[in-house]
Amino acid sequence: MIGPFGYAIWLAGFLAEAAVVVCALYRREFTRYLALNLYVALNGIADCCLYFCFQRYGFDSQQYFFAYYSTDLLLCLIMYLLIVGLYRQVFDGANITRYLRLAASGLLVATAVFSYFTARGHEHMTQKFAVELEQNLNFIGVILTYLLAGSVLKMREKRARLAQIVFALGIYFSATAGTYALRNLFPALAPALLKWAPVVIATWLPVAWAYSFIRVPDEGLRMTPLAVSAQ
Amino acid sequence: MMASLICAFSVGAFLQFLVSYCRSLVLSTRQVQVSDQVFEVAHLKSHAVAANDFERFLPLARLCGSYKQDRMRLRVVGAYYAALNVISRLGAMVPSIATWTEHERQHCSYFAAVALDRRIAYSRELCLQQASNAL
Repeated sequence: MIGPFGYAIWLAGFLAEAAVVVCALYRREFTRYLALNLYVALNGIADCCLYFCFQRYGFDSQQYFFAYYSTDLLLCLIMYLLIVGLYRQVFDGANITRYLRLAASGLLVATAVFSYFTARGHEHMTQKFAVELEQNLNFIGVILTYLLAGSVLKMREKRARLAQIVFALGIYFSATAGTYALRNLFPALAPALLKWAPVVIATWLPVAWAYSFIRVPDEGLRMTPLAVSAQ
Repeated sequence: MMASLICAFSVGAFLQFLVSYCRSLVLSTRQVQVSDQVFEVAHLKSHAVAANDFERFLPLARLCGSYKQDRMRLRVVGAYYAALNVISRLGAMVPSIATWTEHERQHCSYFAAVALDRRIAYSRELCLQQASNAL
């Protein structure tokens, strides 16, 4: 049963997703942040599908479980495209897109294979594989975003919005990966922790991005690495 | 084993991303010039913003009334400043941590000074509008 809090979080996330897309269209920046906008738009559609599944079959049903994990995996894959797109923007001018795509594809396949071998032989293999793959993909996402954020700091990125988009993504990935890892470490925590944590974390991303698109100018920032700032 | 590794790395990365996000909010105002009226209102003789001035600027900014544009940012930076205070107390014995927190707190104070400046300008504009409407 989802109470008013659950509906409020769901609605906030959905409205923020709509705000990101509308703002990008209004400012004619939809194609500039194409992967991001596609991800956000598809996230909104996935939210609607999940809401339909929840209303029809219930929160604890198999249908909701498969709808949740299949949409989440699909969004995870699009998220990889988004990360590659952000790398391209940060390394604007350097011709590394081909290498980035290759590296991201290689990582993706390696993660799927690793997750399969971890889940193989488990009693509920499909469920175990979905959870393992989700956890590992999020972890790879953390590493890729960590490297990207390091580049943003190292290159003293001036584009405030781009920097905030990257850091917000990092917060999302690290919190999600941490939650899944906690679930694997302490399965008893799962009903309490995993019921709301992913929803709250997933709401953070469109809210932070909507804020960046609406309030933050694209220029005017000079990020410095933490160690440099103290000098 | 894998889950423990992911958990430890994720917590560390989460904290770093959180700090970087807060810093990006704070540093976005660094290139904005603070007007003299801010220092007059805060009764500051020196026109340089110090690390401890945040506690002086923030209540004044709140007194100027609600300004939608930076309300959320001011809250986040306030929380960041409070966290920096805790870190500076805990790491007072380590010079590099003390220097870093001092520097960051000074950035937060500058952010609050810019917020105060904007709110003063906004309040004045509102007063002028009301006066012109009354006429």
